[in-house]
This record gives sequence, C-alpha cells and structure tokens, in this order.
Amino acid sequence: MYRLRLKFQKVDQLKFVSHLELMRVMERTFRRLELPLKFTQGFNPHPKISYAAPLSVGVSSDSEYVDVELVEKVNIDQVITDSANELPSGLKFLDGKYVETKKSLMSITAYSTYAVQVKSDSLDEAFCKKQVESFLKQEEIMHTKLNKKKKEVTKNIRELILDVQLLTIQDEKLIFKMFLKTGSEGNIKPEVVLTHLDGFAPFKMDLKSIRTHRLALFGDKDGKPVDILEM
Amino acid sequence: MKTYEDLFYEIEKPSRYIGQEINSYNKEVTEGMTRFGFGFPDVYEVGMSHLGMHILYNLMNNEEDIYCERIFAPWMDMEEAMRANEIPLMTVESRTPISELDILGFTLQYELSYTNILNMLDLGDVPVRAKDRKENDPIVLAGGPCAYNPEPLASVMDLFVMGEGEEVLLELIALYKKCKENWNRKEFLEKATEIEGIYVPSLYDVTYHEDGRIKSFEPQKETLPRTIKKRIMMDMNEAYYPEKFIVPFSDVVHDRAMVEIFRGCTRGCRFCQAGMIYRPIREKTVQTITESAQTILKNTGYEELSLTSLSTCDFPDIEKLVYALVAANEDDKIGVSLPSLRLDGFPSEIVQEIQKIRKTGLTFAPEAGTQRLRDVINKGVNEEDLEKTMQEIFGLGWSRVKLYFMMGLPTETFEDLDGIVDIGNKVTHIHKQIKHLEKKKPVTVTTSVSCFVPKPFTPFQWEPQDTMEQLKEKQAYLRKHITNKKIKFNYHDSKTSYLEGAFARGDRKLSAVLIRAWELGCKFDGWDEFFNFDLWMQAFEECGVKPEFYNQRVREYDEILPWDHVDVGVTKEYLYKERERALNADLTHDCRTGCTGCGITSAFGGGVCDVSTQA
Repeated sequence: MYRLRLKFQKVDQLKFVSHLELMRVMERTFRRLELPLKFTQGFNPHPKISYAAPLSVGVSSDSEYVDVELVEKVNIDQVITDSANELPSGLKFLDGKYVETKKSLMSITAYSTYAVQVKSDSLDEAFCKKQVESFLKQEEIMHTKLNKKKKEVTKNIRELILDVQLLTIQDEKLIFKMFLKTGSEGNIKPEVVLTHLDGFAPFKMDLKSIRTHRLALFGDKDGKPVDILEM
Repeated sequence: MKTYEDLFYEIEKPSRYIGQEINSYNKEVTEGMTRFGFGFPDVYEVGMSHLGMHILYNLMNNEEDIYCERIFAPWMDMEEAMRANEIPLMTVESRTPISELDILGFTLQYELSYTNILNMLDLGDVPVRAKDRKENDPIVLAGGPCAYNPEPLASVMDLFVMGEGEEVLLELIALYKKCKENWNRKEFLEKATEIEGIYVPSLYDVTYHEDGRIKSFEPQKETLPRTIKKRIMMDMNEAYYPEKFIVPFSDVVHDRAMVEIFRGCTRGCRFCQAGMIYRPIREKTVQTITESAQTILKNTGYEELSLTSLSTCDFPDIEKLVYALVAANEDDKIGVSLPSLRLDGFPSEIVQEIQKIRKTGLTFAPEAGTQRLRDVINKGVNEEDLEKTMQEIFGLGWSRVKLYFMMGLPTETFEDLDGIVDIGNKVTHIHKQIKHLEKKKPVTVTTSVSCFVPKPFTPFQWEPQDTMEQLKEKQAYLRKHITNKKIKFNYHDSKTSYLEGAFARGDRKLSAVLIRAWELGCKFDGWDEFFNFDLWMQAFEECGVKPEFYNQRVREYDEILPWDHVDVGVTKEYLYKERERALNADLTHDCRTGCTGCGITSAFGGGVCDVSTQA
C-alpha cells in the first residue's frame, strides 16, 4: 500500500463547491486518471481518500492537501500532468509525494494563513491598523458558539489567533493577512476573527462582504509551522 | 446592486449554479451559431438526473454551429436574490440571459412542473404567452412525455416536439438557421409544421360544446397536418448516444452513469402511459451497450452504472449483459444497478452477481393488492411469484424491501386495499420463516401507495379518477389496517394527484388557469413544502374552469379527446378494447410473445413485436 499526498489549489468557481462535493470530484477524478486505488472492504467499498482541513463554501485556497491510497506506485509528475485534463477548471494539483507516515492529514494540520477582504465604513489605514493592534493586545477574546448538542459554549479564542495584519486598503475594502490555528488541536475561521474585531473596533465592517482565501496550510514541528509536504 | 456571483455567497448550494462541471461544454460563441437553451423546469439536482437531457445536450453540442446550454429553475432563495438584484435567469454554461438565446426547449416530465416553466420565462424576461412574444424573443418549445397532451400549455408554447428529439431537433434547428436569414416568426412556425413531429398550437382552432366537451379541432389551413405523428429512432444501435455525461458537483437524485438498453415496453400494463407512448420496443445489442457503458465510465469516473429502460429485466440478453459488465468493472468496484425488478421471473442469479460489488436495496412493484385488480391492470404478477421472489431475496441475505402500489385504480374496492395489507404481512412472515447461517437482520418492508392518475394514451384515459375524499378515506383505511411494526407505510398527498389528474387530461382552457395560478404565486408544485392547493383552486375558480370536468368525469368513446390529434402509433380502438378487457379482468399477453394489434407496427414497423420483420 502506498499513500500519495497531493497538494492542490481550489480557486475561481470551484470555491463554491462544498467539501462533501469536493470529495466526490476527487474520487471521480482519480478514477478518470485510472489510478490503482485501494478500496475499503465490505458491502460498500470506497477508495481510501482523506483531506487536511475542509474549507467553507466560498473560500478559495492555494494550499489544500489530499491523501489517496494506492495499491501500486505511479509516477507523480505524470499524475499531475494528466490531471490538467481531468480536473474541473479551478482545481489544480501543484505538487505531490509518497508519504510513509500513518498519521492522517487532518491530525498533522496545525496552522493556516489567509488573505481576507471586507468592506468597511472606515478607510483610514493608520486608524484601522491601530485598532487591529489594540485588538491583539487583549488577553481574552471570548467566543460563544453552539456545540454539537446545540448548547451554548463560551471559550477564549485569543490563543488561536496568532497574528492579524491589515495589509492595505483597496477598492474600499480592508485587506488582512491572518495567521490562525487550524486543525484538531485548535481551529478558528477568519470570519470569526473579523466578527470579534468588528465588535471591538469603532469602525464597522460589512460582515456579509467577507471574502477569504487560504494562502497556506502548515503542520507543526516543535511549535513552528512547517510545510505539510515536509512533514 | 450585487453581481450574480455575489449571490453565490448568500444562498444554499451555490454549486448548482456555477457550471464548470466535467464534460460540460464551454464553447466560444461565434456569429451564426444557434443558441439553444435546454430548460428543465425544476431544480438542478432533479434536472441533472434526467437521461434525455444528457442525450440531447451532447447531441446538439456535437454540432459545431449549435451551442446547447442548460437552464434550471433556481431554488427559492436564489430566485429571491436574483429578483431583488434585477438579475435575469441565465444559462449555466456561459451565464447568458435566456432572452438572448434563439430557442428555449423545455422538457415536460411531470405536470406539476408547468408553473416553473412560466416562472423561468418570466425570470428571464421572456413573455409567458406565445402570442405576446415579439420577433426578437426566443422560440419557446416543449417536448417529453407530458407533451403528448400538449393542450394545457397551448398558450405558452410556440411549438411542441412529439416523440424522441434526436432527429427532429436538428431538423428544426436547420430550419431555424435558414429562416434566420430573413426572420419572420410566423413564417418560421408555419414552415416548422412541415417537419414531421412538430405541432404549432396557435395554428389550430378548437370549438367546444356547451357542456365544455370539445366540438371540433381544426387546422387553420388545409396544408397543416390534421394529426401530428410522433418521431422515434428505429435503430437504437445506430441512434446517437453520448460517450460522456456531465458529472455534477452537487448531490443529484441519480448520480451515476446511465446506459439505455432499450426503449419501449411490451408488457402492456394498462395504467402505464410510458408503456404505450414509447412503443415499439427497440433494443440495443449487448455489444453496443457494453461498449457504450465502458466509454461513459472511463469519461465520467462514476462508481455506479445503471442499466435504464422501462423494464430492464425484460432485456433478452440481460444475463449475458450483466455478467459482461460485472466482469469488466469488478476490480474498479463499480456497481451495476437495475432500476426495476419484476416479481415474476426474478433474476436471482443476476442480482447475486451484481451484489458481488455493491449491495443495493431492492424495489418491486406489485401495483395492486389482489389478483383480480392486478389482472384488471394487466400486471400479470401472482402471489406465487411474490412468495418465491421474497424467499429468494431473504435467503440471499437481504432484509429491506420496497413495495410500490397504487390506490384509486379503476374497479378498486376495500378488498383490494386489504390485499396491500396482506402482502406486507406475508412478506414479513416469509422473512420470519427463513433460516440463516449468519445472524439475521430485522426485516423492513416499505410499502408506498401512490394515488392513481389516469393518463392520456392509456386504456384508462376515459376513466374517472378517485375523488380526494375517496383517496383520503382509502389512505385512512390503510393507516388503520397496517398495524405490523415492520411495515413502513408511505402515501402521497391526494391534492397533488387531483391537480396532476386535471392537467394530465386537460385541454386548452387550462392554459389560463395555469397562468393565473402562477400569477398568484404557485411554483415548485411538485414539492410538498411549496404546493399551495388553495391558490390553485382560486385560479380555477377565477378562470371559470372546474377541475372535476377533467379528472373525475366518465368520457364516452366518441368524445373528441384533447390529445386526439397526436398520433403515438397505438390506436384509440386498441386502447378502448383494452379498457373493455380491463373491466372484465381479462389479461392481454406480452407483445413479445405475439402481436396484440395495438397499431404500432403498421404505424412504424420494426419493433421486436413486429412479426413481419422477424426472420
């Protein structure tokens, strides 16, 4: 058994394809590519394919990962070349390697960086930057959400936010870069960060206008982010 | 104002609208290209499951100078957002407003989708009435099974295509291209009637008796055909079949590769419209089917293959076919599914072969609860068939069975309903008797009972439909008597069947009712959560039309029926003879075993039932 780890891009219209839908797209792409897939046993056999950190509908990314288990090794460069004709426009394999590890992609994922844009009523860059700095100086940012049993739970999300920078203001939109915890050890979405920033800062943002793009996804080695393919 | 794409962030399942699916066409629009919009009057997931759309989409796009794009009814949230932002209905592929296309072709798969057609036209700024369309508006046409009674949509459609669209659409588009050089809408429509299978309702006049029955149906010119004969593909091995299918992103109803193995059905069930209108039976060879299947699987990457037809197990070489397909796809874990199984001659070995890859649920349709009523409808299945089949499938390890029935069939009594209850009990009892080596799973029998709606071109086209009160009473009766906890009882709303019944056998007067109902807000009538019966009744009343006239009246043999000018090949005499036989509970044999004289062979010839062409 061989585990092929592929890095891919999910952009343009394909950002509107949900994670569940993406899973079908991938399986069928691998089938069209005639990869020697490894299947589960049982009445309903399905190929062994797994992912790192699912994206919300509407979020694009330059740094997604998928593991697919194969019964034979195939040439990775060939797979990437052939996939150009088999993937829908908006999905693209960027890189890949065979991995030995038994650890799942989901369990090794630790951080993401995002570019996030949002409309705002203040376009004063210096002022907004100051507000972001003060926002990050808080020791506690309490976030309330419903858990799986539909019960409200409140927890401090400050430590999940590693960095937020206002990069620039363009076309009346604030453009942020965020560095956030991602994965099973702690996870926060950029829109949640903006919701709290909106509540904190005196300027108002149009939270419906948030557009998010994942720039990179990282694993963790000794508390430092490392490229997933280097794990 | 927001852009179309902005809306994708705010609505459910945006992947319905984005296009970009594998095997969809993104053609460069060139001068002189005919732009065809294939409209499915329901949401994407339903439309994308429809085989006919995939066939015609690929057929038209195979032509360099035709660009066929898909149009679906946007879901409620999307429609609201589009209207709020003044965004017109657009094609999936190139996001072209539908009013800019040349031809809009709607497929009529069920009567309760008609309001969606009006809503889609309106959302696309195309006048809903044919007479209001100007020279530059698209030609609006319809085809599909419900088009065999075109009359309720007579005021909406510029023209109808009768029968199978493969050839006739290309002929029509060629004519369109020719006429386009010196465009005159009326001239085009008149010329279109020269193509066999094309019906232009505005060129025919209907007069009525005082009681509302049709007095005359007359073409406005001598040169127009008095009857419109359906078009069919005689040689299915030579007929066009796509090598690829669009692979949708979102979870569509039938998300699998589909290979058609034959058209038509020879069983002659008397309630079944498809069994009459798709005659004669035309089969593909095992070789054509397997080649087609493997190509489609390769080009789509689907993990399941469905062999489609009206009665798949009637395919003479079914065993050979299934073994060949299983052998070819076993290693890739591609499942093969048979959409319809019969209780008589249950192909146990074939089903075992199939479950080597994937185990699917099994569905059977006894249709009626007693032998007498099954004979009335010519179902030709008996209790022994049922017992034998259930013993086999439970013995093979299945524990879930779905059984389909109808209530409200002609001559039905409460005894027949007791029969439905008894069959369910019998099935659970048979399961109990089966000894298993492994631990047995508890049995579940899903008994679905739909309300029978008499359809045109069937022996029951003259029969009254049960009233809503009768149907409700029968449903209550079944609810009370199905006490077995292992039986899950499903039934359909009698109100939707009532409306479906009125439109199925309606005439031109229903066009006004349809338009009024849509104006009042009716759409997605096939969806329980949106169906508004009271608004429909208001529309009937405002138009001075009584639905009972259409769905609950006994028609006489000599009455002019609204669809009499459509020639499906099966004669009215045959249908009436079958009606008489039905009322006597006389069985008519399967046409494969000998001609039953329905008229199809003299109209078309060449089907498998045509003894004159058989060597």
